[in-house]
Amino acid sequence: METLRPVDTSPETPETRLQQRVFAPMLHTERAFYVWIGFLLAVIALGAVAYYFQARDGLFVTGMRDRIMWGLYIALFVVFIGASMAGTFVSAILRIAKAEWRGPIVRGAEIMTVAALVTAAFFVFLDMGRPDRALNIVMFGRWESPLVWDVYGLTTYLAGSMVYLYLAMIPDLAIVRDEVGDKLSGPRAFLVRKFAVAWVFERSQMAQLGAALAVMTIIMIPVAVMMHTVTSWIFGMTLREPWNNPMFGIFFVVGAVYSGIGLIVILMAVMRKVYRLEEFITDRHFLNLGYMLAAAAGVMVFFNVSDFVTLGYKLSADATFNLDQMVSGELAPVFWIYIWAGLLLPIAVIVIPRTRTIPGIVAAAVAANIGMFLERYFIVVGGLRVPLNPYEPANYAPSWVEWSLMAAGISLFLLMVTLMLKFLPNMAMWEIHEQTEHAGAPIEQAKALEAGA
Amino acid sequence: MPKYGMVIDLEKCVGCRACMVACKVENNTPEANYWMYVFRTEEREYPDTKVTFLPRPCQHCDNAPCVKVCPVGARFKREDGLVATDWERCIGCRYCEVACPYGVNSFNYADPKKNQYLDWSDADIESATGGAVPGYANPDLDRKSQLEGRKIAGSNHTKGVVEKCTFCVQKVEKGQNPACAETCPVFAITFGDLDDPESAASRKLKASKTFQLLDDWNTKPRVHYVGTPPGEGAREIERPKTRQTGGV
Repeated sequence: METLRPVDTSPETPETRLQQRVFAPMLHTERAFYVWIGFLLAVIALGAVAYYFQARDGLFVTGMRDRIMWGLYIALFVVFIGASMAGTFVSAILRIAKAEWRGPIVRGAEIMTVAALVTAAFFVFLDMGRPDRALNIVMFGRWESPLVWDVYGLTTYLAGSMVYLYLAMIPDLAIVRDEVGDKLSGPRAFLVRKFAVAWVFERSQMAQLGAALAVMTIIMIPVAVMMHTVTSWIFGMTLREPWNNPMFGIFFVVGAVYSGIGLIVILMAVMRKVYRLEEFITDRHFLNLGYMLAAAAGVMVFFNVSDFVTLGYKLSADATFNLDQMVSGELAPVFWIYIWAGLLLPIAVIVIPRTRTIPGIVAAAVAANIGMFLERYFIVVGGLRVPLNPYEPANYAPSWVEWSLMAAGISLFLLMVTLMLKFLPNMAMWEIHEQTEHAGAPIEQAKALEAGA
Repeated sequence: MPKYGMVIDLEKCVGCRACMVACKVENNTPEANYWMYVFRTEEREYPDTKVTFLPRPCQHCDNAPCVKVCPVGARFKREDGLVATDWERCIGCRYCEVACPYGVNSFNYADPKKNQYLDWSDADIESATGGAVPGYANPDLDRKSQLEGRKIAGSNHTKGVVEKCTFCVQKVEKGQNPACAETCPVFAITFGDLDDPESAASRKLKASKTFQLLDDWNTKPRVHYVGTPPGEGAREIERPKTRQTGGV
């Protein structure tokens, strides 16, 4: 039987070193892992306490009231929908562009998409006044409602992302089955065997997988764009001043790409440190993603300038109120941190050669994500604050319940990512093999490329 | 099928807010929720101040933004022109509240307290009443509507659902006028079938120069106003003591 399986098993090839790195978290559990999981569960438990009060006393325990009726929960829903852009979309773009450096980062990114979508749904659930009636959306769902579009979008994107994650993982599961299958516990070995679907690295299997992945890649890009457009339309379909904006869809898509790339950078830095992947996740990955991050930030700046110039020039009554509250009013701190730290700082860090280092790019990614969180917050709260009747504008501040559940939601996200990275092959070994197959010394080749670039 | 509507004469309105009280009594709305709300606004500075009043019930729009966005069809448009809420289906997402430009929706952030305006368990009061708590609910509110057999009248105030003015559907279906229109001491509120040219509301509408709130958004409200709207820069004289301002 002709096989494309890499057979070189001498201890010191990059391939075996890669496999050792990938197998390590699957086979050994360090003490730090339990501490981390315990910490996340403790935060989630705090959130459960907060939710107990919310379920007992109603949303009265939050800071939301009738004039600002959506707050932190909906902002975080948008944040996690944005985070879900990271994985599948970026990985699909890199696969289509045949970016040969994608291997070590696509798996983590795809895992992040799945976790982020589940967390986004979690925050919608928190925001419901009658979560016991959640099934009404299925039983009485009206397709005319943008909220239902989002339900369709989220389920489609989640299902597609899981299929995409799984397809690209089959060869890796087979490698796990063959190399360390006997070292896994019974049920896990069974699951790995089942999900590796008799994969034997045959040429025909590779061809089929390649075709399936190509189709999924093409499908997932428009689905991801749809997901973020539809999320923006929840706001864009209303008559509220700053949301009543035809640009909102594309604005959300770019925002999601921006924060999503930032999240991949952060995830890469953490994986590199925790799993000691310095050999595989190199400067090159950070540089490439850093450039993408700066480019996305540039587009965000463009959108913001375009928005402010076109509205600020005409200064209609509602637009004036909105600009005032952002530039010098209640939301000014949030707005200016977003502009300076969230958009301009990451561009500067990546443009200036002295700061264009791994710590610099990771810092830029963190700033980008904080900035984008603030942006989603002022989009939701600022939009609701503009008064449409002759009343004084209301104010909103999240309560301790909302902050606790925010911490719990983020912990839930991190818990899902941590568990998937531990129990699944955390890097696409076969793609890294494939990319390096024709070059005898992959790492040397990568280094040469880097030196050239 | 009649198409109901309301004509509110701002030139007659004296801002007494009797309609707000009548609405609360009729519909037993929870503390701090006002389905009918009378804005009292002032313009300019003393001594040139001009005071205006603007009663604002639900506008029962024909092109209702809230109906469009409701994900479960709990908010719907009736054949007779009323925009109704099915309290038993609402999931509490508050999207209707976000979409409505008039701010007529109230969300029950907490479970409404019964007998909220008097503590009937207070020792002094109990000695006078002998422990009896007067009935407060209008039995009509618990009936299902005639048109579609759903619970849309103002009973069943529970936490976690959105409520708003129903045009007193329980009275309208019996051929009566909404509580606010019945109560207004200066007959500023006229309710009736706008498709019937002989109804009082139609005649009032025809005889006067009217405007609609935020009509450039083409929501097609079924509430028409006679007189002049509050001008640019109108300020609310006093803020209502409601949940949205923090003090219950």
